[in-house]
Amino acid sequence: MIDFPPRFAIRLHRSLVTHVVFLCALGCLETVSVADEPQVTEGWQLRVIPAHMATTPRYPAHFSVLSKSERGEVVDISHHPELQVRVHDPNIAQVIGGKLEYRSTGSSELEIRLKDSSLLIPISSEEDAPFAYDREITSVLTRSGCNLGTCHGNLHGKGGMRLSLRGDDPEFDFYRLAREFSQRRIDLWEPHESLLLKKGSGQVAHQGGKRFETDSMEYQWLLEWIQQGSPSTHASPLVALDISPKSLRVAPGTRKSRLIVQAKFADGSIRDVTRWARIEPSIPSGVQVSEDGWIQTEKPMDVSFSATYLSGRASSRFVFLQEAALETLAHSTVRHPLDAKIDSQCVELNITPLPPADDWTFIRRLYLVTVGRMPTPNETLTFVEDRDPDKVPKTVDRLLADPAFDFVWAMRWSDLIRNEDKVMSPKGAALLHGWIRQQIASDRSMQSWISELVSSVGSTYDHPPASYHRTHRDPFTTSESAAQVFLGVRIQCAKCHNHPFDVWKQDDYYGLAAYFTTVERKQIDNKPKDELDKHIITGDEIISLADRSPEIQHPGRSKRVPPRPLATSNALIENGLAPEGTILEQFGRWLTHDNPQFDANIANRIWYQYFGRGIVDPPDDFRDSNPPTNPELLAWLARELRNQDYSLKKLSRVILCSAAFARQSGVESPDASALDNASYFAAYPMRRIAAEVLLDAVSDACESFPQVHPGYEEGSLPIRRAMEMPGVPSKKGFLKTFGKPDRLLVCECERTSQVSLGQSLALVNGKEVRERIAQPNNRIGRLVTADIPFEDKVRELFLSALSRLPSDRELQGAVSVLNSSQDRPKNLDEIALAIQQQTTIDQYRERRALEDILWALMNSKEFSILR
Amino acid sequence: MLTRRKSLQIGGLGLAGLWSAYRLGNAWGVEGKPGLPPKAKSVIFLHQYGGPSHIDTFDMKPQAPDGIRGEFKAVSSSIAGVPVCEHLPRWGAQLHQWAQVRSVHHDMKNHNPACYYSLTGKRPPTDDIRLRDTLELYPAYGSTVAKFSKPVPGVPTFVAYPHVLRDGAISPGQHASFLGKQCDPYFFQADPNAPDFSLPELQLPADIDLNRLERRRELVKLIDEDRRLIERSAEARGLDTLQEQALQILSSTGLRDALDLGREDTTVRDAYGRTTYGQSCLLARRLVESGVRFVTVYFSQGIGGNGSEGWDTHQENFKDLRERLLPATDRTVPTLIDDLESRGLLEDTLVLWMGEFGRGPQIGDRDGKGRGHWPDCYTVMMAGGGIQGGTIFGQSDAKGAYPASDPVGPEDIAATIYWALGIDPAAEVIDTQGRPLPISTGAPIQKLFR
Repeated sequence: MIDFPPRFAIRLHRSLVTHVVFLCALGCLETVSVADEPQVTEGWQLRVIPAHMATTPRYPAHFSVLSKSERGEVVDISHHPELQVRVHDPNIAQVIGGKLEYRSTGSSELEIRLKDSSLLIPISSEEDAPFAYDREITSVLTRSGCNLGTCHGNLHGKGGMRLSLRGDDPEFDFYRLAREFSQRRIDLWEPHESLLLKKGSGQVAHQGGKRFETDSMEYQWLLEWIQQGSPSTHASPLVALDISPKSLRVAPGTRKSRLIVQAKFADGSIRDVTRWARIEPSIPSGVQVSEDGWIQTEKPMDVSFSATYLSGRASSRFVFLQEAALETLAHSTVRHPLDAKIDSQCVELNITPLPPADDWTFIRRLYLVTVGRMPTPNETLTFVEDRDPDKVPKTVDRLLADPAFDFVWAMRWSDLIRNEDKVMSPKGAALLHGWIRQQIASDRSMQSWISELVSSVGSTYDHPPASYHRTHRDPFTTSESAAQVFLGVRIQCAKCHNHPFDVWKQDDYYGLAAYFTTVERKQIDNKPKDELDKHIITGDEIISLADRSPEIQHPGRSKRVPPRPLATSNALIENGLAPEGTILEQFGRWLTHDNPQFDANIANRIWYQYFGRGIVDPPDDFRDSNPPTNPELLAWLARELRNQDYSLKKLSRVILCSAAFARQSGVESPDASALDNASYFAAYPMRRIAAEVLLDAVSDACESFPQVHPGYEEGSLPIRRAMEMPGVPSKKGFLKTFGKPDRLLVCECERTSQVSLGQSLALVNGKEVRERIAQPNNRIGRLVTADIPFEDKVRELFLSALSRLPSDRELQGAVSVLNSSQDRPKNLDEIALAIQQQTTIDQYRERRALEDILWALMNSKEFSILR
Repeated sequence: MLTRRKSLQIGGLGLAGLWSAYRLGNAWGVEGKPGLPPKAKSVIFLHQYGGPSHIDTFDMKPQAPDGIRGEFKAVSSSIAGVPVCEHLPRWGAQLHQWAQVRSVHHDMKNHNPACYYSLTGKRPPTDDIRLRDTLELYPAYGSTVAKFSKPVPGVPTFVAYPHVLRDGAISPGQHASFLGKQCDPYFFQADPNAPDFSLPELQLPADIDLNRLERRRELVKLIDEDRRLIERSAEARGLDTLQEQALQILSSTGLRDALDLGREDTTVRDAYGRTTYGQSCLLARRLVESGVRFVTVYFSQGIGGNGSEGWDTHQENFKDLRERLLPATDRTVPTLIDDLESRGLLEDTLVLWMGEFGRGPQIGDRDGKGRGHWPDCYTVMMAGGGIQGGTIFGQSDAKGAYPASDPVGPEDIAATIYWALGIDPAAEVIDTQGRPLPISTGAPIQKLFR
């Protein structure tokens, strides 16, 4: 994974290193016991990061010495007791405390020697450029956290001082620090007395506490700047930020490694800015980064670090490996190229893929993700008993052709594009839902229908895809939605300031929003009950484009800007197509044609539907600091999607027939110190089933559906399954409790699977469950009068609720419920009910036993978990 | 209703014992910053929707001209030199136990956005009269408290009732929003003043007695054991914990007893006032007693006015206050404080009384007898929980129109609540976009506390 220039690599002699002991010369690191450390043996290579080193008085260069195995696993040996490091010409620079210290200007070589092996690295030593406000001072403010959003870096500032977020706007900050309020924050006569220094170092009361010590470099630099008369000087512009290494697989047992951040400036200079960058791990706990780039983890983990320095960003991924299992791929079968991608990553990460799930588990899983319901007892038994080796693809094909598949995807897309009744009107919501179902049913190219969706105009009743511009009502929400839903990127932050955690600039945000500035909406027959509520539109709406050139006010630049696609280093670039058609058609083509981010996002969204977890996860948060867990897998899927002409069903078939989809679900590692199998799809991710699926599962298990769902009484739609609701009904108690989204956000996260006490009460004692169990002519009613053994009745309940047969123990438990029950009707109401149901005492007892069993099945964890 | 026989069966279920261990006394459980000692264990948050007039209640302006002063006389209270409205005699006699913040202000003139502001301490993005309730908006105070508290088994951390606030659309700020459903309030709309007040989901149906429930529970255990999901998945464990809690609530006494107002002395019930608000406040005390950390009582579901529901007195301001709003308030709120004090709960329970804004100084809205919306200056009342009684923080100007000193925003009220509970107001939470956001951007008004 890590790529070193070959000239820096030599082979270590066999006898050289047998034991590596880390003696921590740096006080900030803990000593790690020898037993925990790996041995460096034959075939390991010596390496050094970074590849190029330049040291100056102000920015001494750090480096790290690594040893790399043939498998590409790396150990940092910078603290090896026998390691010798020196600069050939000590008049140029010297190695002191693991870094190069400037002596005089010139170049030389750094020699790394371990016993009789050595490595030479060219170095340069340079004078510093003059002290620059927009480099030195801005980096002090960022490093000290002064300009974070929670401190001074927000719209209102704090305690009367306001800075730009994370040093985004040095000019603005200069004014605040050095000029505002008659220069009250600096004291040119007595620089030590400057408020800036006294507040920052905690000498006077500061709500933000002490940010740096008086003997720190932060303090010294600020002081130096004030002593020089607080000039507004400019540094050579930053052109790139690099982290070395870009990625690293750290050998099992090792919990420490190092990263080095270098800034490249327009004048060609390179500076080690590790000390000045903000380095943030993607996992908030269990990992620490020291000031000079040492990473220490508590357990094996796959963690990315993002570094920000001035306007630059860089990221790096470290995998701290776990010990290899003996037979990593013992259970692996490759059914598709995608399985090979997963297997090769498992080998790289020492992860053992789980064996295939049994037929019972598999068929339930397959039905839940494709048609949103549990298989009937017959469907389950038919699949399990089928001896055809091709029964999986056969069943997959049947389910992909089932209309319920269209409903599943129509619900998913309706969630994302905010198809809700208030803005859409119940009729409009149903029409849009129906249109999406048609696209899914006919398996139209997703490129084609998504392009039509974002670019359609006209009546939303006559031409439902125009509804995209009805559910999104201004240029900002429309462009935010397009970016998040169709590209998987979140640009919202860039509305007010350049995105603090991502590459997006305000130029991207307003450029994208400008596409939608000429969209006009005219309501036909709009009669909202509440005239004050401008979010309610009851009739049709006509979408049209005004005859003027689209442009939008860019607050950062204080001018109007024309449409512009997202254009950054993220490879979202113009695809070179000539502008053709309306502005929306131009947008639709850019969005969907030759746009690698579109392909990756759609492939990832499809994967997410079937695994409940994206390869990039959350699926709508692509950014360099949230990389795909398996980049090659995602690239393969995106390519496959494109090769299959953006066919949902074809890509679905590949995924559903893979070995990965058929794996057993995850088992938590007993010592919690292992990488999570399911993140790499070496196990099937376990999760809750969606609210609608759960409610329908209760109905199916009880064989008892409502005449019509609450909220649809007055409509023309006899909705009986929750999966078939086109919009969001106003009455949605059970569904709301279990996380059905209101469709007011474009985020996948609006559908929550969090657990709550309300949910437990709803399943244990809620109206929906109670009524369905008690309904006289439900499944239980039918079973009570059926002339079959009680055991078979229990089996049917297990099949209908859990898609499996009861174990012997469970069957005995169920039978004992019947036998131990001395139930008799207790009061007049119960007697009346028994008479009404024409039941005998035996039937009464049996009914109550079956009710208890069904209740228990629906309250078992297995029922509401998809595994 | 719980009979003696049933109580014995509860013992048999082996669940009831869990309660006693988590009663008040060891249930602080806040994960605050070290060095942030809590002043209070619980909060009772009384919210008066519609916007109570500050000039006609606590921040009276007897020297102001006719068109501002209003009809009500300012009479002396239990604090020398601090007058109170003549229609709040009981509260006036107890005023030395309250702190008043008379300089609260913000810039939201419509009920829904102002209400959201008052329930969360977060300024809404727009002053939209029908501000939409999305997961981008901030959580209710109680939800944030739930996020930072160790749950007490058998009782929810946050309980809210007996109305859903709405003005045309549901007002945002009444749930956990982006903090997630586990921080939602346990919420109900049933009227505690109704003779048959009970919560159906907390009551077993007639044909399910505790024996049958226990039988079902055993079966669930049997099925769960078969696939060992609870050992294998954190998700299943979470479900199991909450299911246990639900079953505990159903089969044991704690929460259900707290909700059973029939167990309360008739004289106490009468003292609180036989109104929805009165019995709701009584319930608040019972809930705090049972270990609930945050109780929100909504005065009314709508903004009201016109002689009904809430405090939006655009018309007949004085008649409405005199005949309906103030008598009900004066009956209930002082009783709550006395009751908390006599049970030794007041010291640990912070009580807040406020609305979403005050009312305009100039009389003459609509029918010429009303007062309009006034977010520019209003009063928030606090008692208990370490509050220094008798404190007046902040002054309004001569007309009660704008803060004259120590202006305070809803942000600061939020920070004060969190600080009082030992939660760092600058603590961060993560929203749906992954952004770290502080729970409050305000500063706690520490001068209100001893």
